[in-house]
Amino acid sequence: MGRRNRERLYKAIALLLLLPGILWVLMPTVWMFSAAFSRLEQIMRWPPDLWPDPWVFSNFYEGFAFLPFGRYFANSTQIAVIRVMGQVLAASMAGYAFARMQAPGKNLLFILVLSTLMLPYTVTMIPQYIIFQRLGWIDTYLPLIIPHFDGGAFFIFLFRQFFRSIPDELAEAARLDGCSYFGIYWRMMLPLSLPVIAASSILIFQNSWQELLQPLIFLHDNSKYTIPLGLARFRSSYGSSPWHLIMAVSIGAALPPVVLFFIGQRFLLSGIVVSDK
Amino acid sequence: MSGMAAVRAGGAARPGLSLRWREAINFYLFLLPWILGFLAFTAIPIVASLILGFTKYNAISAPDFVGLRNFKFLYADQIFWKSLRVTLTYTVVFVPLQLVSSLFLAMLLNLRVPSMRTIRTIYYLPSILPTVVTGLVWIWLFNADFGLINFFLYKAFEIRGPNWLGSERWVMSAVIISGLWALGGGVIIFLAALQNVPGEFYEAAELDGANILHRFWHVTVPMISPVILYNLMIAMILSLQVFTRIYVLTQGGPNYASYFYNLYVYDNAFSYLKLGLASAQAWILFVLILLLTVLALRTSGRWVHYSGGV
Repeated sequence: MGRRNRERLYKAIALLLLLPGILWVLMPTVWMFSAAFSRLEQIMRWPPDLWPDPWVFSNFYEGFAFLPFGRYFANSTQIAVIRVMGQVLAASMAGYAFARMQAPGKNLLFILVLSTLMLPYTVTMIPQYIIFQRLGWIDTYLPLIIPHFDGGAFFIFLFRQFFRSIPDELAEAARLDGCSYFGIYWRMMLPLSLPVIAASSILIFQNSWQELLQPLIFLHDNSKYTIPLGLARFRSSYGSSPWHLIMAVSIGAALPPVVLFFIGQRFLLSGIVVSDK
Repeated sequence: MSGMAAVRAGGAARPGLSLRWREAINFYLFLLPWILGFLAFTAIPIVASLILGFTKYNAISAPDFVGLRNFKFLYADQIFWKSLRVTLTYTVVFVPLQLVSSLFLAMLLNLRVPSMRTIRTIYYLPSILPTVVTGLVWIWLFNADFGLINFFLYKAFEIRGPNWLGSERWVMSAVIISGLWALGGGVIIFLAALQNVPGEFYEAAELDGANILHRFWHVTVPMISPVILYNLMIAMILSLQVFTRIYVLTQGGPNYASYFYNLYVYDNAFSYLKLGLASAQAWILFVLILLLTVLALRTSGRWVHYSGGV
């Protein structure tokens, strides 16, 4: 068998494996949509019937009113947007420093940054709670935002890898023209790193949007809840609950990260440089 | 050349400050957000939580030093051992499954096939949806009487499926299955690594008569081995800390059969206000993660190849 034919055979086998997998991957989403447009009786039917009969559009209206969805949505958005801005800025600054500057203690600090990946959140969670309580930050969004302004090890690493791949000559030329370190970072490096900025923004937004443990600990006032916290509380307080409404709300909750993903999708892969060049 | 650079750049700098010093100061200025955040929200809390681990503390009255009592209590606590067993069982089964299926999926998604971008997007979709949302959906997919999983089992094999989330015997399988559904993060990192393997390596291997399996073992695996190690460690660290999915799916039940470690830490800390005990518990997990990570790094010398310095 020729090389080209063999190549084609591999591709055909790959497609044969990937296409049925799509059914498996999409199944939960399909069920979510079906339930969101169905009456409650239809969800509890055997055999399951995924085609809503009749289509019930008022689930969305009712669900959004049942949970104060608008308020939770606004809360989650506010937290995520501020966190993304601060965290991307801090991660890119630290990544730039690690990639392109020399200083005593640099290697040790980088190892320290990476080693924070191993730290379980539960270790710092309790002292953080005590600190935030003393500061009067409980029931504010500061505990969900400010601790992330350190950049986060994974994102510092992403930026560092990207900045290392930019040729030295560019920055050297700017330096000779008397550009300061901050000038090079702000006017040259940041604009070049758009793919990493996009990729990390998407990932940080997702992290923030779906975070449950921190809101659970730091937010007690019902009106301050985020979407995940609202949904989780809803689930634990109504055992046999209006699932068709929950699914309608879930679609609303899933929309922002999905939309953001589709906007920034083309950067997601190019922004993640993992080679050790 | 370098003399000229020094003269020009030196002109812009304050006199008396050497270039090297200026660079070092700038380095630490750029790193300031991380350093401050690290001190306030990581370093100080780590030390504080270690100290709290030896106290009795309910967040209201002052902490009471109790020596090793928290650790002795945990040693005798059946639920503590249960939660540790649940978490370790999950990790031992889930991590290898996740790693192998992520790599396999990434290799399939790396082929140049028409409409691959769309296929990639579909496979990444589960990882974009918030965990709480997918958790709620899985509750229904696993439903014993109306769930799609049991419906397919019945249609395909005429099996009456179990009450997945309500049965001590099946709940762990359900947790693992729902975990394997969202592979996205690891797949993306593998995919990025695969795209960095130079095509010439495969061509050279093929000229030497290597078949697809040889190419996988002797080109792909060595070339992406640092990324395999990274994904292995992250998967391990994350699966020892599972919280959100379980909190939504089962809340630890039935009869503690899915009572993961961090659920118990959370309950001790914030449901029962035993902050000292919970700190001790958190530290035990931390030490366990450190040991496992060191073990992974120590044994990695045999199979991880670095082509340059990371």
